[in-house]
Amino acid sequence: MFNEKLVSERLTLRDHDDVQETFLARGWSDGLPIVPPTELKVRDMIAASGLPASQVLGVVPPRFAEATVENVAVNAVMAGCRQDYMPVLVAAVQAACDPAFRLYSVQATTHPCGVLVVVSGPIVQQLGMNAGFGTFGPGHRANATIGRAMRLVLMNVGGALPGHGDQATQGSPAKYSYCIAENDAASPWPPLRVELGFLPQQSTVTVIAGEAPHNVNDHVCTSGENILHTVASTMTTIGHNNSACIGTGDVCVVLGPEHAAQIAADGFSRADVREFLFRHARNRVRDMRDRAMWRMHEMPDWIDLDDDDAEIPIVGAPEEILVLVAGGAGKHSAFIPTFGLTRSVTRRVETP
Amino acid sequence: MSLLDALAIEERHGFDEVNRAIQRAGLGDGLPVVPPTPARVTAMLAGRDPGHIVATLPPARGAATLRRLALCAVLAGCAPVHLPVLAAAVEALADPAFNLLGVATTTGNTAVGLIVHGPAARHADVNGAGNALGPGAAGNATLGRALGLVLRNVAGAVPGQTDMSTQGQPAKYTFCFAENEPASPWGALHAARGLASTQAAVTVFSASGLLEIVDAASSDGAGVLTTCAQSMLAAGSLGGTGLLGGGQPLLLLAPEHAALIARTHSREQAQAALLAQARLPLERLAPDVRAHLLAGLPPGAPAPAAAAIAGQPEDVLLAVVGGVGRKSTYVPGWSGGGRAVTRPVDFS
Repeated sequence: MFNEKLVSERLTLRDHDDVQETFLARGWSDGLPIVPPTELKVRDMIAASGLPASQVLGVVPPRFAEATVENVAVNAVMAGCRQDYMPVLVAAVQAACDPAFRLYSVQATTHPCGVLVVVSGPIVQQLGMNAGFGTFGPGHRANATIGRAMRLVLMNVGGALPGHGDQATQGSPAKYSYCIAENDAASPWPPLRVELGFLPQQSTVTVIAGEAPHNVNDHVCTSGENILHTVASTMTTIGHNNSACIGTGDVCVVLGPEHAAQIAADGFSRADVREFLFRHARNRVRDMRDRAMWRMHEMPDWIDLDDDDAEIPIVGAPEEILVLVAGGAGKHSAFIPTFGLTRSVTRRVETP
Repeated sequence: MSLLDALAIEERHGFDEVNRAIQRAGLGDGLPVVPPTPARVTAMLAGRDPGHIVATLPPARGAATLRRLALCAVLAGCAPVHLPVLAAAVEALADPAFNLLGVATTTGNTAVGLIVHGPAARHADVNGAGNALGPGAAGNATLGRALGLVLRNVAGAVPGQTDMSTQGQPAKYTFCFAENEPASPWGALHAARGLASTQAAVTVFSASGLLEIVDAASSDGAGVLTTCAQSMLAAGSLGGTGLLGGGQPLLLLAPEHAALIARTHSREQAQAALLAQARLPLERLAPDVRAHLLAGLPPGAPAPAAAAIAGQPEDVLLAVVGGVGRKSTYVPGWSGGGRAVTRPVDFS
């Protein structure tokens, strides 16, 4: 419906190997082989968005370059996306450019956060996304390539190149590709998008500036409350940013379906889960003092920092703990600490 | 480049599909649009040169070509007869006196209003009689809307990006009407502004709201003028000009009010009476506002006792609009300043 001249640079390259070497040499790659973004493929990808090629989706720091439908489509092709993934990627880029996400800090920090893309709603099934076994892991094209395309946009448009723009001390494998789907069918509570005010029949993406997931293994507990104690314990290692950045961002708990089912069967609503974790996921002043990021950030007034036994939560309020269900059978869940000075952002996926 | 240029709507595209695309591309105002198929755009242009640049509009210095105006007109639901009117309005907006850069980008809530005068109102089905400021007539609804779409899609005044209006106002969807010339005792506004009364013309103005003025009790023109003058004293309309309502207030008089006033006042006398009476004593202003106003006076200038609505009588714009009843409307201009501009319409 839109007919535009494309503005991307045109290259004439010999063959597949020439493409790989040229893209690597120009710093346009994550190091893995890419799909050559030919004009035909890019045009088809743009068309699949239903948007004009020149439409600006946001400004991506630290280069502060405009993410357009065209340059996002180029990266989607390079990552190996199927055309029908494009609306998800568009919404994810828009969400990441929301000021609340604080993408400049997220991109440039020495912290190893990646950008987790959580997809929720009917589009999960439509795209064949994996919300079950190994949702964080490899094996499914949609999860793998949407997450990768997001990273390529952050690098190639935003200029977050390791050592230049992206100052991550060590980084994380989550920065290659980091995309999961909410498992609606296995969730005992309404899906996250509904809790955030969207309709069940709408699809959403949520971006979270998270570390790679920290495993919560609980094979023993037979009560929801005790499982939540294990989750809370995993949330209170002092070496993540959230132990020190309180009230300035959110964290994410991804419950495996079996843990979630036990917790819900014992009468916990999602709000109860958040409240429980807010009250129990707390470090003690004696463990924090002069360690980690002690006093690098303001602490809430009500914490007596001179009292060794005083408790320090990892967020400012229960609502700052995102809770969702994903994964397959088994007794594992995940806690995702975040950059700490960032809020997750959810956007509706609009298909043409 | 305006995204308008990239539109390639074809007959095979469905109504819903086109509407979704236009809205998602940020080219819409939220209401359904008419799909701008090549046939519709060609009909709208009626043989005119699509590349002709009518004006260049701030804030994006967008070239208002006839093709772009035709696209906006189709989207808004206009008929081909409306395009010359829209083009004249765009030409008027580009006059530096209008201060479109300010009006289009301010945090103020101002909208752009459009008055269609003389034969243009008849040709283009623009209503100046009962409910002229409201819905019903195609010309009022679609011309005002087309102008709003031009501001967004050609001038580049995009809400949240360049149009920084704190609250906006419903008149930004559409605000277009004609004068009720047969009912005006003083002739048409465009004639008062120097054009021949038989000339088709438009006037653009900035509108920071609309206030109803009810006076069904006064039995003479002086009484109606007093009610009107007292209705124009809104402290919150005081702007950097030191005048209320931007210094060029627009009073839309109902025919019955105008007839009463005209028994005793010419247009010029009515303007002078309004200017003389509409004075807001400075002591009624909030202390900090008063101090700010006084601090802005030129060095050595005497402090005024009151704030006025205009600097001179001819800046009080009077137009006769509407049907039966004694209800008029006061339209303050943008407090940041700028002047109404009138231009002839060329239907050829």
